[in-house]
Amino acid sequence: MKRSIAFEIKRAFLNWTFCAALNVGLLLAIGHVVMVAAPYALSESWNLWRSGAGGTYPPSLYSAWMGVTSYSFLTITFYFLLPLLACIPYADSLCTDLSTHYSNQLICRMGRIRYFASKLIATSISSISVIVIPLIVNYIATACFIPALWPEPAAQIFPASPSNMLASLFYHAPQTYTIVFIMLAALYSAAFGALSIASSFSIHNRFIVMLTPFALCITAQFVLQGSAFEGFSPINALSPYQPYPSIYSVVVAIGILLLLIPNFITLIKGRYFEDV
Amino acid sequence: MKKSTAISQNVPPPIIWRSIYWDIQRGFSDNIPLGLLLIIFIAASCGSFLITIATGDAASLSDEHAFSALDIMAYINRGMDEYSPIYKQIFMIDMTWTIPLLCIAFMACTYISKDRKGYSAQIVSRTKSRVLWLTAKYLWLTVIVVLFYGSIILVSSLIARTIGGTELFTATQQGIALTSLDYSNMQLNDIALLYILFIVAALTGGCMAMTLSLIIGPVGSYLAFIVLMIASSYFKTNYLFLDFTMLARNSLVTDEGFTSAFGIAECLLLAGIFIFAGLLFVKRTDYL
Repeated sequence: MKRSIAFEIKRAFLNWTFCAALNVGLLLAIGHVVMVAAPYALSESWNLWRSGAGGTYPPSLYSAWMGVTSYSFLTITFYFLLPLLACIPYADSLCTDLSTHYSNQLICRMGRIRYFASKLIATSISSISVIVIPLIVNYIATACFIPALWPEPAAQIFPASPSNMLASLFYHAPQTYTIVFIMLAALYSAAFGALSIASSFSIHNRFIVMLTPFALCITAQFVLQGSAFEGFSPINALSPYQPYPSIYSVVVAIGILLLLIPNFITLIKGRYFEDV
Repeated sequence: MKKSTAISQNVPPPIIWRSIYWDIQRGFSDNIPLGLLLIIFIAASCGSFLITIATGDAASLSDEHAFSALDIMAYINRGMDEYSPIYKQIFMIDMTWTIPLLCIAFMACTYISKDRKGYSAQIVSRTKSRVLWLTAKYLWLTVIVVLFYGSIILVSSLIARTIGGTELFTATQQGIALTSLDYSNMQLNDIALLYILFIVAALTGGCMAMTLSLIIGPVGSYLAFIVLMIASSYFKTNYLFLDFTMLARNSLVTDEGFTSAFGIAECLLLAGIFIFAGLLFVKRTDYL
């Protein structure tokens, strides 16, 4: 099993689509540092504090990293593209393997369950990497420019309000809040990759397989738009700036279900898979 | 890029028209699910308009209860107001504006990518013309976009004629309150020019997606289209032509908006550039 997982991970990471998707994410992350964080650090706000005049609350790491700047084009683009970026690296690999019958070669060498399980694991890891690495790079790079001043509710520059999920965590342990949301993004990225893998059994077009989670997210966003459940749409729920209120346990439960159901379907279909 | 080695010959007119007709027919039959999705989208948007009217949010602002086809069309094509990041408010993308554009770009990208691996070799060898193969695709895209926006007008008119209770293309207080846009001064020729602008701008986006799909593949093309779409909704500038598909940014409803005539001219120019680039690329590529 270890060898099959290692083989699939090698295929997942050593291909140009992974590099391309990661580069797009890193471009957005680093662009955000250049366009938002760096100007903050060099702006007039800091002159007032350096001179001791005080006045307005200066920018903090927890109000300036990519996940919380809801007014930044790069933040919006990253979270809107998240379902697509997560699936670009390796989520269409099962579709490709099935259409080229390469899966037959691998299955007769490693067995059905091992093949499909290692495919799911490799896809999840590559999807998580493409999303989490840019977020971490942006967080660390922003911390190089802006100090991590403790969030102050009265300052009105921080994204968490009382109706947002984990708002108290944000004001008591902002680092933990950030880590929680990065882990949430990782969970949903893995779920999107698994969804694409599961859809490969019935959809034979690589592009459509890759786009399936993105299309579902857009549909959810459209259907829930203007309703009381708008905050539960994946694109809104994953954003640390939380444009709409939602419930943490429900968001996590949806993410876990989205991850488990496609995995289950893939393993069951894989168990009885026959390609003649 | 492989150099073309095929001998180009003059293609007889009957083959041209047959090839174009068959391509358009095939495009429709291959994209039935998306076509149905667009029809469902129009129905859902009209339903959303009627529900909002009925629940009274707009009605409370107005004594009249009538609405017109123009109100429904303005509601569907409203788009987003100009966004200013200075105030640091949350920027949200309107899905009602986004979904048709995403569907059109998707159809453009997939049709090209499917054909390149399948029918293109047969069509090019039978018609002996790569240009004809690609031209048929652009014509199919034009038909799709015109049909979509025409369907909006048709469905809006049917609903307004049945239960609207007023002239088809006059602005009502209901519609103005619902969209928060004052389009009461729009005449019939303004509406016609506006809809031509919407069609041409969406078509330009589709042509861009199709041309990029030829060069960098469907995934890269779709990614580029989405980034352009988000940028168009975020920034208000003449260079991002998808801005022209929003009523909220037109000069008919806002003083600093784009004029329809300028938008049409720019979009036609850009569409011409994309089509020319596509034809140039296709002529140098071997599809056999």
